[in-house]
Amino acid sequence: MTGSRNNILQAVRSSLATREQHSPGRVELVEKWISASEAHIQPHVEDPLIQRFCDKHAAVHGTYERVAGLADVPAAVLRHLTAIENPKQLLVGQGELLDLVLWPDDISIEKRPATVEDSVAISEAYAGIAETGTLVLLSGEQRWTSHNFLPDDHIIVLNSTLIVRHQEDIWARLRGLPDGLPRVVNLITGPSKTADVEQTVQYGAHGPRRLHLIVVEG
Amino acid sequence: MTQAAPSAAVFKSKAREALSDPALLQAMERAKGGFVGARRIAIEELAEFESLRDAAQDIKDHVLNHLDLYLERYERKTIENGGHVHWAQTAEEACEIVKKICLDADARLVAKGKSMVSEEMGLNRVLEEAGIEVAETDLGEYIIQLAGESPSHIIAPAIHKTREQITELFYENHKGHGFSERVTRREDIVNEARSVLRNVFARADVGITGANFLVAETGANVIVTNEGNGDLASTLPRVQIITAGIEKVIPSLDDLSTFLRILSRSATGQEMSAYTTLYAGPRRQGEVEGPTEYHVVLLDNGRSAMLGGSYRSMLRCIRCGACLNHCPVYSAVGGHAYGWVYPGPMGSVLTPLMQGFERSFDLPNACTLNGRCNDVCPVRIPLSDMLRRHRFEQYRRNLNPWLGRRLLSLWAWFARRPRLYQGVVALPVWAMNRFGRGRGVLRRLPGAGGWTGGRDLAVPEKRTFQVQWQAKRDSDA
Repeated sequence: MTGSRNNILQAVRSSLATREQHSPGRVELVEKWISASEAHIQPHVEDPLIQRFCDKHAAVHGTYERVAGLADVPAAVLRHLTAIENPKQLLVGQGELLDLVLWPDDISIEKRPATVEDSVAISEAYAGIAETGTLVLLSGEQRWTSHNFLPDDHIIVLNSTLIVRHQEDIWARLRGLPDGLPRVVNLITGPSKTADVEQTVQYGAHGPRRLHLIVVEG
Repeated sequence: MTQAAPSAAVFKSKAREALSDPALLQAMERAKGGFVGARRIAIEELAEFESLRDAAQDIKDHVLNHLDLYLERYERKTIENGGHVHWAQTAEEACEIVKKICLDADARLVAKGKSMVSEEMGLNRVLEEAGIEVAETDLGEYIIQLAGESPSHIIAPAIHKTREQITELFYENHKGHGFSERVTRREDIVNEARSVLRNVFARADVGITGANFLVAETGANVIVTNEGNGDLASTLPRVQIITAGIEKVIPSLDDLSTFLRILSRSATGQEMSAYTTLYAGPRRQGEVEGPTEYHVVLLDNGRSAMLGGSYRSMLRCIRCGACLNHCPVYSAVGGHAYGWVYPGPMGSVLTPLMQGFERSFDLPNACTLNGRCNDVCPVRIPLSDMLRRHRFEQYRRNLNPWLGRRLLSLWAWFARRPRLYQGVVALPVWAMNRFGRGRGVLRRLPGAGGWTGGRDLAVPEKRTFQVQWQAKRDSDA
């Protein structure tokens, strides 16, 4: 195996030999490209960002509700669960807002990874990207990636102050995390879908059939 | 379910079969224009698209110029994350590596996300021969696995299947899963597959996916999907394996953003696919889910050699499928006629490089050199130039059939004698106009049944190019 590694790298180098391999400062150039990395070309994204974000989310078949504060979250969740006619059973992931939510008695909550039996999960987004209506979710000890993909319904809570303009704004924030990037970074843009049957879009291929967003303002 | 051994040696006969297969023609007709229209709209809405193409090309060229260093950087970061990096010079070696990982993990069931590199490796057959059950989980891949076929499109593997065919496949294969009725509505078809495959995800020991990108900055592999199956395959099984070509490495997360802006728009006309995920290593301290082993298999399979020659820019390819969608030949005959895993223009360039001309002689010639592939390629690969280069190479190596070479020589002989040439071409032009009787196209032409059996032949202008050119010069003067 080390044989193949060396053979491949050697083959790459000999293919580069005449042109690039002997140019001075290659290693420094590569390190600098990464360490000094910054955004290249960014599309224009108009203000206000919160509305732009919500519009983009709706354009990819997501639903949303804007609420004035944390205290409004349980009622918004209840409204959604009633609308989708789901039992009031929730898998709940960790998050600065979600940790503070006082769940009413008629919603039963569990904090564990999802199984194929679970129907609804609620997660908190690390950020929202206004450019494309994309939600950013990170893995963690109490933030289970399975919540994002197994249940039929996924509800995501987002603090409106965490909506950024461009995708690169997320990388800048993630690089500043004390433990570096988490194991999994999910960029989620709308519910699961497929066009593999006659090139016609159907929602709920393998992941959530519905994606509901609760934007918490103030 | 094993696939037929790859063969790209019989394009002509397969194309002929395709053109006389009504179900295939129906499926391709339905698909035609869907991706093309969606892409056009997405690009019209993004003023920066052309600059993004330039930036993406520059990043890829930079990486390729320093590919050895970026691969080492990526490997170092992946190991720091707790992952394993394996290197394979050939498809066979890559299969052996994956097989060994699976056997060491006592794997009985593998859940696969869509991976063109694993198709290139012929991985499924190797695993199945080792007694391991392999389940494709991308809906399109799943459909063609049930049919015992290979993908006919790099992002829409079952584009050639009609709904009626899928209904029958599910009816025949899902009885053991408690489905005894024929499902005909699209929604029900998708739901039935979802239900059957949930069981696969829950039981799978190993998940195997491809990678759209490998990020040297963080050691993450990136997958871009719409269904979410690749993420389930990366999250639920205890072992995660990623198969990727060595050209998939990119420098930084900012570079990733540039590619993400052009990839989905070029592929399906989406601004972003539903799921873009960065995975970096196995589960960490304190985590109770995610794989306990994380392996990346880096495949060369001819790529390092391409780096040194005239085909280097082919390594910029991000496998979006835009060149397939815009290719008139692909749209007419579908992907299977190309005989191996990569169809359309990108496949006609790649297959001869990876499999040799002996097995792919017709591919570079199955092209009208119309250049639409070049126009839509998000990383500006000059595909038709490379196809022409393949043709030069075939001629130089004396690989063309004797008759074709004789006719070319004959044509060259006439072309050097303009007066004679004009006289000789005037005759068929006159004759074809007589046959066409003013309709503009010929449905039939004596001696050309091979052409007119599958398509109409345009009638040439009444006057030859030389005659028109001379007339124009006379009038200009």
